[in-house]
This record gives sequence, C-alpha cells and structure tokens, in this order.
Amino acid sequence: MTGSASIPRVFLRALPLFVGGALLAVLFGFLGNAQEADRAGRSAVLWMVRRWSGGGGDLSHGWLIPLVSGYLVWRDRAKLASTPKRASGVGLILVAALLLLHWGGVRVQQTRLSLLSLAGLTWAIPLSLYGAGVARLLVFPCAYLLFCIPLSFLNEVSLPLRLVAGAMSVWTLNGLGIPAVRSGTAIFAQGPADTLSFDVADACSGLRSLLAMMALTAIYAHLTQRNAARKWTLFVASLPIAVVANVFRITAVAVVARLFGQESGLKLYHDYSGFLVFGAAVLMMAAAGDLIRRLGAKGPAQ
Amino acid sequence: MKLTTGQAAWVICGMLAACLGALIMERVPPPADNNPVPIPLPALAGAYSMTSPLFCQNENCMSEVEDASIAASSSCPECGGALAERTLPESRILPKGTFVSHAYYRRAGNSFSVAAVVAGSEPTSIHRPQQCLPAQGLTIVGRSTLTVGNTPDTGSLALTVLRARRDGRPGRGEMLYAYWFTDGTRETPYHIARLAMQAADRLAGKKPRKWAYVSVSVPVLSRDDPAEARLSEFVRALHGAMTGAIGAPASSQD
Repeated sequence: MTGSASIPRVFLRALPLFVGGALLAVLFGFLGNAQEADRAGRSAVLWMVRRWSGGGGDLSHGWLIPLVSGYLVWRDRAKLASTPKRASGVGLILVAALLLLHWGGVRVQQTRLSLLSLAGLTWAIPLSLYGAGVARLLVFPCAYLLFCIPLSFLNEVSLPLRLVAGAMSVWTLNGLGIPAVRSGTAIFAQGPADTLSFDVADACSGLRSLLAMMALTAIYAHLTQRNAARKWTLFVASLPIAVVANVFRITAVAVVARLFGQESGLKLYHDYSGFLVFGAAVLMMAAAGDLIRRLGAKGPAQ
Repeated sequence: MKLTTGQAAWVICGMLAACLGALIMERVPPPADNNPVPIPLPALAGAYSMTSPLFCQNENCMSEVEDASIAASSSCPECGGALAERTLPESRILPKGTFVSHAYYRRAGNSFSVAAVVAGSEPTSIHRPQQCLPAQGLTIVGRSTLTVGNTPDTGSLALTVLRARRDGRPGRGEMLYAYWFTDGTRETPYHIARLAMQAADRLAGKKPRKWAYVSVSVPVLSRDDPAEARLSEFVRALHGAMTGAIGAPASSQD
C-alpha cells in the first residue's frame, strides 16, 4: 500500500512545479512583447530568438548561451542534489519584484526588461524553493543567461573603442615601417603603388560583436580561474582584448597589402580577417588567463 | 513563519498567475495624436527658403530629384523609376504609420539638408543615426553636443552633432550631422533620454505622445569653414519656424 499511497504524494509535490512551469511558459512564451506586437507577436522569447537569427549574425551566439548554462547546471548536478534545501522568503520577494519588472517591461514596451526578468527568475525561483545554498551554485549559469538578451545599444558605445583601435593600428604600422595616417575611424596605409584605406569596424569585428567576445571570455574565466577576483579580472580584460584583436586584423591586412598588393590585402580583409581576429582573440584570452593564474599563484594563498 | 518548499512553490504559482492576469488586462494604449513637428516642414526658416526633394525607389539608382517640374512627372529622370517622398532605405526600414519629410533650405550659397521623422505608434519608428549613417556609407568620425542659444520658446536647444565622411578620406565629403528629438513640448539631443521619457509616460499611464527626430546636415566646405556656427544659426531659425507652425501631418506615408 505504501507504493500506491506515495504516487499521489509525488504527484502533489510535483504539481506546483508543473503549474508554475506552464505559467512561466505562457508569461514569456506567449506574452512579454509589446513592441510592434501586431507584426512581431506578443512573445518575448520569440522576439529575442528573432534577433539572434537576424542582424547579420551579430547576436547568433545567443543560441549557445542557454546550452552552456544548461551544461553548467548539469555539471554541478551532484553538488545541487547534496546541498541542504530550505525555502527562502527573500527569494519570494525577489520573484515578486522580477514579475513586477516583467509587467513594467510590457507596459513601457521594453521587451529587454521582460527578458531581464526571465533571466532573474531562473535564479530567484530556485532561491525561493531551495534556499541560498542551491542559489549560490546557480549564480553563474543564471547570470550567463543575460548574454541572451539582445543589447544592441552596445554597438553605439563602440565609437571610442574604434578610435582607440585605429590609433593603435597606425602606431603599430608606423613601427613596422609602413607609413600610415588615421582620420577618425579611417586609416590610410601607403603601399608601393597606391594607398590602402580601411574603416575600423566595431571593436571586435570578426568576433561578430563585443557581446560575443564578452560571453566567450565569461565562460572561459568561469571554467579556468579559481576565485571571483581572477574571474572578474579576465572578464574585464575582454574589452581590451577585442580592441587589440582588431589592431591585429588591421595590421595584418596592411602588411599583406604592402607585401602582395592591395587586392591580396583586401581579399584577406574580406574573406579571412574574421578568422584572424577570432584566432588572435582566443590566443590573447588564453594568454591573459594564464598570466592571471600565474600571478595569482605567486600571491598570498587564497 | 517557516515555509516549506511546497508552500513556496504554490506562492510562486499565485504570483505568476497574478502577473498573467495583469498582462492579459494590459491594453494597448490609444494612438498619440499630437504633432511634434510640422509635416511638411515650414516653407521658410528665417531667411532660408525650402525645396522638397523626391527619391528614386529603384535600388540601382536611388537618385534624388529636386526639380519641381521633373518631380511632378513622378518618374526618375535617370532611370524612369518611381519617385517618393522618402528614400528607399527609409521605405524599407521605417514601420507603418511613420511620417517622413525631407527638405533643403538655402540662402545666399548656404545650403542645409533637413529630415524630420515622426514616429508612429511603435517605439522602433525612430532609428539611431549611429546605425543609419554607416548603413548609408557614411563614416562617423566624431560626436559632440552643441547648445544653440536664443531659441524663441525654450531659450536654448541642445543638439547631438556627428562629424561624418562620405568616402572615408580626410578633407573630402565631410559633413556635420546634427539631430534632436522632440514631442512638441520636450526636447532632448539623446536617444536614451527620449526612451526614458517615453517609458516614464507609459508607466504612469499618461496619454502617449508622438516623438519626432529632426536632423540637419551641412557639408564642411574646407578645414577653415565655420560649419558649426553656420549650423547653429540655421537651427535657431528652423526651430523657431517649426515651433511657430506646428500643424497636422499632411499625409500618411505607410
């Protein structure tokens, strides 16, 4: 009789999770977007997914983010299972605040606010149900979901980074003996027969977007660095890494143009510079991570 | 009082259901009916007189036609394509219900290109020039804020001024591109400030107001050209003409 009695008990314990899951699916899968809702639909999730697919692939890393977050949770499944669990009132207050944010996002027609609320709820709900111990293990996987949100305004603040990348490129080219001048974001490198002109694209062109570089560095730092200070140091380093990678791209194209002619340089620029930047950025990121690890090892014990 | 996980789960379900109810009851606000700027733009801005160009909708041509007699024929003299009051990229990008007006203002050799975009009901009607200008082949090489004093109503008007180049070569094809946002009663040079004001209005349940994006561009003729001073003087005149002549939009360009 114990077996048959336990079935309804299990069912009753699981019921609110099913109900809550269904309500969450409706709240964000069918509602949450008020921008051009007659054309784009009311789903906040579909609004986001459409942006991952569009915009020239600048946000295509969005598809990977939930998978990475899911993997991180799965990786810690044993720790999650063994952590003591206790419901939290603070978590419930946070859930209420995030739902208010979702409602506010719809009211002010800012779907990003609703998506911020969704990412927050993935952490606040486990905090409410299972307490701080479980929530602590979920901080990074849930925070990583923020990289799903299309933050296109970052492209707008990239102009100063482009100017810095342009200045550094001209300095490098002149150091290599290739006469170059900068005007705004444009660079003119003198070749044997003609002048090669570039426009310095967004700071991390070839890495698709600054956001993609930050997402890559965040997961790398999380998996390879031991403490929060080192993780943050490497994460913040993603910005200069993106700029330096772009300097590498510009310098490489100018050198190829100088050695093999403008056509070869531009072909490199159009066809392969993305791979060059990506490779350079990954190497720099790994080197920066190694440096931080070594410096940390020499410092006082953690 | 200590909660069990099961009790907390039901509390969360209750909150989710309440939020669902609130969202279902949330109604799309009525369309705004204010006129933030006059469409078409004023025929005179101080001593500057206005002409309106038309734009070829053939993507291989995209010529601009200013001659009124040619424009009246509604076909492009270059390729025979259809002419419209908005450019082809604008026709493709701007959402339904958006009004656009282009004009040239001239006086004694000084020429300014003006565009006004009046948003429809959707918040994405007005786009950021930082994205639009590069898409049109212009390179932004600098950004600053310029305050134009002695405007008739508010006393001063702040503009965002972008320095841009058409072909990316120094000293050639350089221009100043100034813009501001207005809802007829409030003005700001910043996109983010406009969004914040709109959001605050919506959150407070106020009647929505249409916003307009007004841009003025002027070529920089030489390194010594006081283009910014010329721009200030013209914007002062244009702003005065616009605030004095706000009327109903002439026609929808859906």
